[in-house]
Amino acid sequence: MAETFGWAGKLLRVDLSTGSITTEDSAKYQEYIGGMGMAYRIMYDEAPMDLDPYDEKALVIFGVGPLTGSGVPCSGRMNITFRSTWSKGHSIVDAHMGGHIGPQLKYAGYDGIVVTGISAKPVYLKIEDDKVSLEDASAVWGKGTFESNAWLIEQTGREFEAASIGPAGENLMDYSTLNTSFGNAGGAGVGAALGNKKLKGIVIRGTGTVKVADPKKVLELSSYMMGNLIGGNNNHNVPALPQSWAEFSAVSGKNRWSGAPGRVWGHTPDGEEIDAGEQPYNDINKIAYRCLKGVFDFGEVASNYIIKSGGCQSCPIRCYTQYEIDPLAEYDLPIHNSNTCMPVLYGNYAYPGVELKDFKYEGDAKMVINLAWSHAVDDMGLWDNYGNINRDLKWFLSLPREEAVGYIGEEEYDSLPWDWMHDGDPRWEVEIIRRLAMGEGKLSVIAKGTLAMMEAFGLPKEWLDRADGTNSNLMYCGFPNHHGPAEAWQTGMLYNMFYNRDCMIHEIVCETGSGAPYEVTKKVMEDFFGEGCYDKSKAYTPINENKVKLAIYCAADKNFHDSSTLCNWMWPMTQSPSKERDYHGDLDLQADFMTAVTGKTYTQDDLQEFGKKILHMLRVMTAISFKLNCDSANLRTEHDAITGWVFDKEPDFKPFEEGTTKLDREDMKKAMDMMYTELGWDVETGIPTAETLKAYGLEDMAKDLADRGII
Amino acid sequence: MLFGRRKKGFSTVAAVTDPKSAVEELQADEMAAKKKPKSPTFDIDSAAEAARKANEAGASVESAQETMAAGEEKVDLFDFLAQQPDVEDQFADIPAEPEEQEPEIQAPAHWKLAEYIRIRSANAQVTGLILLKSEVEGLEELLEAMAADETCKDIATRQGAKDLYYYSTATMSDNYAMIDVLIQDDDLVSMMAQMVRFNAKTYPAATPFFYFQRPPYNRSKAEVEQAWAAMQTMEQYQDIQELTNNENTRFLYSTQYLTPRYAKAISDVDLFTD
Repeated sequence: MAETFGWAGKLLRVDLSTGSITTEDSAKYQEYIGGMGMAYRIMYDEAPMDLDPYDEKALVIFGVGPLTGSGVPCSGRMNITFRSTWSKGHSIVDAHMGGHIGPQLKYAGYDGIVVTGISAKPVYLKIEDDKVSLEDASAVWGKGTFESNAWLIEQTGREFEAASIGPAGENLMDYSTLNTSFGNAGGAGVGAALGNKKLKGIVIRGTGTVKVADPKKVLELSSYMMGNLIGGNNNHNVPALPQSWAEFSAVSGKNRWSGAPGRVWGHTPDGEEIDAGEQPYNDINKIAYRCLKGVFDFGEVASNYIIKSGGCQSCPIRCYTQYEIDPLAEYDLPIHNSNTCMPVLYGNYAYPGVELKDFKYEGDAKMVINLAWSHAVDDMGLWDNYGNINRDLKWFLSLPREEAVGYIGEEEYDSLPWDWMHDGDPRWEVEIIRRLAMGEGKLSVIAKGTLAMMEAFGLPKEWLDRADGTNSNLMYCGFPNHHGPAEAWQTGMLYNMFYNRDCMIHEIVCETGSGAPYEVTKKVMEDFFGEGCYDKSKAYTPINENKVKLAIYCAADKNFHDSSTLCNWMWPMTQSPSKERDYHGDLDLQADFMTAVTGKTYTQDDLQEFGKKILHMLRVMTAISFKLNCDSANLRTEHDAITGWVFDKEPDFKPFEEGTTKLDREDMKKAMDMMYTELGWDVETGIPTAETLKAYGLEDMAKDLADRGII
Repeated sequence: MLFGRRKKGFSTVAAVTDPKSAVEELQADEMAAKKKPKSPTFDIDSAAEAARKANEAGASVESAQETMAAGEEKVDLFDFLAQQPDVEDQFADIPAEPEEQEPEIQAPAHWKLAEYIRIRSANAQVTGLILLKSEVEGLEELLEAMAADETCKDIATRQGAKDLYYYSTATMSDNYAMIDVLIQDDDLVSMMAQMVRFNAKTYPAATPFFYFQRPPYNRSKAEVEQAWAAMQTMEQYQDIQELTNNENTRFLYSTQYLTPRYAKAISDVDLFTD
């Protein structure tokens, strides 16, 4: 194995059927960066879409890119690639997780793990540098992730990082996760993909290092980033409340730079409040106080329960707030919680029409309910599909009894502890979650996916067109909107079309949600991406070339992040909190880090080309999957078709009128034409042309599509 | 009291550091900031660091006083070291050369004034002329000297309704100075109207009522309601209107800059945009 920088240089291969564990040189995958890109090449080469997702030969590929473990800020990520069992087409899909386990894999000496086969009994994978083994996990099969992770650490040692699946994954519930005990979770159904293989969990201890080509440059770039570019979570570049050094703040008082004078960690072990204070943008010693995520999620009342802010390896932005929710003890529920984003936001959807009562402090009702939800779904290893599980549940629980029993029967309906729901009792949601994760009853089909639920309940395709607040599906593929038209006009709609799950793209919402004045951010965006690319909130303009290019940029950039592997919430450094920089970030920084870490020269244009190559690979595999499973490889009509509510919501407004985010049908047709053309995809089918694939060195995929009669 | 209130969450300031050393540190840090790769910015951290050191200096005096007051005996470090037997330094093969003493420079008096304003700015406070007049002798000469001194070009002024205020642009933004001057003016009706207009024009955004209950305004809910009631009776504020968003949160906005329909739309909370 040649000496390599950034990349660990080895790939671990584990066959659960035979127990075989081998390694191979990973150098040949460097042209795909790593993580997502590497996994897509392996998946295409070794586990074609013709395989059933639960086939013994199906792969689950853990990938960690060259920047993880290298010291580059905000790089504690890991990508997991496998086959979807729940979204339309059953195509290739990714889970992504933060924490410390990805870097541990690098320190152990591996760029990834390719898992195949099905074990005869539950096992866990133990990695301690070059000592790798499969161990019996029967003792924790059926257990929640918290107990399982604790057990895994007991078996191996405190220096190990552990992640496990819960009952949802074991029971092949499609909405399932792989979890650490700190709220880091990969979703998209990876729990079921691993559960099918009887792989309960992974423990990793790495004692090595990631070799870096130019460590002084990495330090120099890191200092530059910390002192000049980085903001709060999502790289929001103004504080939520006025701070004396800052010209601007979020008027709503709500963004992800929530730390402010008077906002505290109020539930510290020694009882001493820790005030987040002011955090001047280039005071690098106060960066970790910026993201008081609990206050962003729940308001000031959260401070009463906050122990501290946690987060991922190599990241100064501590976005995993850690809580002690002592009122839950009254219900014999766990009181400690650490999480961020979706798991903590919509647990209250399990209580439709119920006015939740405060537990201990004024205004804490939603917070306590949501954190009970968060702990329960993490323990069961249940995925939310970016809120679809909450929305689908809310839709069902809002039905009149006579209609609901038509779907699940009287016996099951009456077995639900409805009194707990009406009382706002957190045990209600925990019980619902348990039933979903265990696959218990007809209601649990909600955890098999929105499309599976529609099929089981006989709901027509038009069910996805409704605009009643419980529908966020942008297409008919079973996954929802993720920072799409509501925050990013046509651009957001376009980049939501590429993937086989919610897109997980944050390139635009980091700007629109920052709280900075529109004109300030517009200048930044237009200087980077061209005139007319950045619309005002709820005041959209017709499609133009720069909006289309921005959509492609966002997807390519996200693909690079999941390949390298960087956090897409923080990267790229588009904005800066620095007035002296006119709030402009530095898009080249990630390429500079790639060069400094790997010793190979990269430009931002290079990274965009890598990202586009991955986009073409994704589209090829999606086309093959749709041809096999939907009997049509026309992705424009089968995959990218937009649901009605996107155009028909808010009937009092017309598209492009001030005050709405609704889109216009003809305008979006034009936008799609422009996007397919820009990417070199066929405008009628939305599939890459042979010429495009050849231009990206993907001749084998062009031939494959031709052989299958797709192009 | 020269250093005024201490705000919760801000670094505390207990004493003025030596103006010469403070300014030299500021300048040294500024030069270091300029040498940072790709950084064209003045390093605000330098001023904060100076303030921190000043704070520490003050804190240590207070701490010593507290210790003495408590009657606790503490061995002086130098006394302790003097009692220790002499030991040959095996590694001291090269005798250290005596440090060259820089000639002491008498700092101009207006530097101390400028540093005082800087430290207050770092503590999120503008400095009123009335306050300075009550505390500083020969103020007019000092202010003239400060205005003429290139090293004090960071000192800016903002006129309030009742006073002229000084602040350092190295540690306080112009917009924050505007806010703090409005707070010092202590006219809640005027302050609310000005900030509602500013937010509507600048961001653009409607301003939640609770905006004025949070730092740095810290007004009570009753005060805000009372001010809004008064505002509605005054002709000059008839562009200020109220709306309630889809989560029953109340806002104010200015019709000079926002239409009622658009103000409502951008104040409504869209689900799943977190």
